[in-house]
Amino acid sequence: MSWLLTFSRSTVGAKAIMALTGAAMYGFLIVHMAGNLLVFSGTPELHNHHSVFLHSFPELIWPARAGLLLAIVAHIFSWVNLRMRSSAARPVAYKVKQSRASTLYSRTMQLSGPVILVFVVVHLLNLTSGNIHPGFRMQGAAGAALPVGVPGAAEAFGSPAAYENTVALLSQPLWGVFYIVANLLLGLHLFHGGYAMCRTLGLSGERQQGLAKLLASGVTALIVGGNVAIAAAILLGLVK
Amino acid sequence: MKLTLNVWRQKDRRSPGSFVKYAVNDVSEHMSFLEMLDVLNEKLQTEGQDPVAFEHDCREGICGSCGFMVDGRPHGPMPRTTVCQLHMRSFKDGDELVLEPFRAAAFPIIRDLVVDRGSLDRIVGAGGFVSVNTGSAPEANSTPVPKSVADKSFDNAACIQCGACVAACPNAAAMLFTSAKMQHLNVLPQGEPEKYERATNMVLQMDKEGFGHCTWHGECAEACPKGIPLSSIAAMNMDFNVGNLLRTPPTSGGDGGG
Ligand code: FES
Repeated sequence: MSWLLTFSRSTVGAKAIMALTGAAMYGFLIVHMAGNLLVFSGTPELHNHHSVFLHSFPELIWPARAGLLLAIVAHIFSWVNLRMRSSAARPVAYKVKQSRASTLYSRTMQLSGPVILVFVVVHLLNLTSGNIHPGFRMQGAAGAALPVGVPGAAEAFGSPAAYENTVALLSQPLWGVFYIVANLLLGLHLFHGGYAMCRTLGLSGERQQGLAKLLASGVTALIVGGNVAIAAAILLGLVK
Repeated sequence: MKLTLNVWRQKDRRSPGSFVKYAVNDVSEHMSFLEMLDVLNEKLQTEGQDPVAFEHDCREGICGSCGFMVDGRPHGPMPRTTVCQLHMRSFKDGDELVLEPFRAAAFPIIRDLVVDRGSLDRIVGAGGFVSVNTGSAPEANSTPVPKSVADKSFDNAACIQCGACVAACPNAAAMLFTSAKMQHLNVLPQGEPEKYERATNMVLQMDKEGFGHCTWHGECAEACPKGIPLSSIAAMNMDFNVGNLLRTPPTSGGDGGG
């Protein structure tokens, strides 16, 4: 196992870990966005049923959650490790330093990352546990919404009324705008992260890199576009 | 033309340094940047002051000795040009320039604009070679190399080890340098057999020297006077990742020397 330790401690290995955990989170985001597109189905039950469906497999949902948590922790841990080393690598700053090649995406990674972390926590408190929500509701097995008096105890009761909770939250202008802005920042992170991920793992061919860039921008547009469309539609009252 | 220079002056490794302002008056646009500094130094010496120390050798852009920051860019404003090959016509009368050494923990300052880049030598020592058995020289055409592979190797072999990539990188990483010194061998049939060991040993030595990591800003490739492409880093990552994750990992840790 010592080779794994050596690998994960090296600058290239720690970046590979960031890339692999990033890829896992990328995958989750695609599925998450796709599931939520059900708010556009016109039948709230469909969106709620998808929530019931997911919650009916605790033996899958909990390992998946644990895996995601592990990915997040490993992603952050590797970053802190690398960041500390790169700060130490240039102890005296330049008086004048021009940036010639870096992009808005690459320069904002260290800002967009922590913002996304805060957003994820708020999002879980909003719509998973219901601790921060104007009127969080659980639903019965049939998918009919039931009011619940104990916020935060979602798991004990079944599954949240995904549709009603989402609409109630995002129709409030402040929350709606917050979700849209957070998703746009997420987009900055996903684009640079997606492209970087491919090259960190070793895609070096001219054609492969072009493809990686295309894929990163496409998938980012898909995730952010889907999420923002949901929030905007609810905010504008198109989905009630 | 007349120029004003803000030059970093530092007596030795341990002394604190600071910027000192100099006026240089008779600058011809045909001079190279280093010739302009020669003019300044001559003046300083006749006035009994210490000349500004800067490193140089070939002044032809091929040895990699020269290099410092001109207004926040390694080797100055001309793309693909070392500071010895930079001409004063790139500047205009009245310009005020900041001259700073390459800054990195792994490049301790020796004096003024001269830094110790021995850390780069140690990375090469950790794996930038091909092990060959002694004996009579092999027949030249016994190992055919396709043109495309030879080109790729040569693109990387163009590295002159000046350290501009480290200087330009916001993380003071030596990724571009290390990947160039690694990939010019890894892609060739002669270097291929040792490519995974080479990747591991060189990357670990790079880490040991205290360089930073890659965040794909691309500043290094932009600053490189020899145009080493960013894709070399990706190729290095591939060799390091495959060597460590998919194969029995080598046990030696780059101790330098080789
Ligand atoms: S002095 Fe040799 S490259 Fe500039």
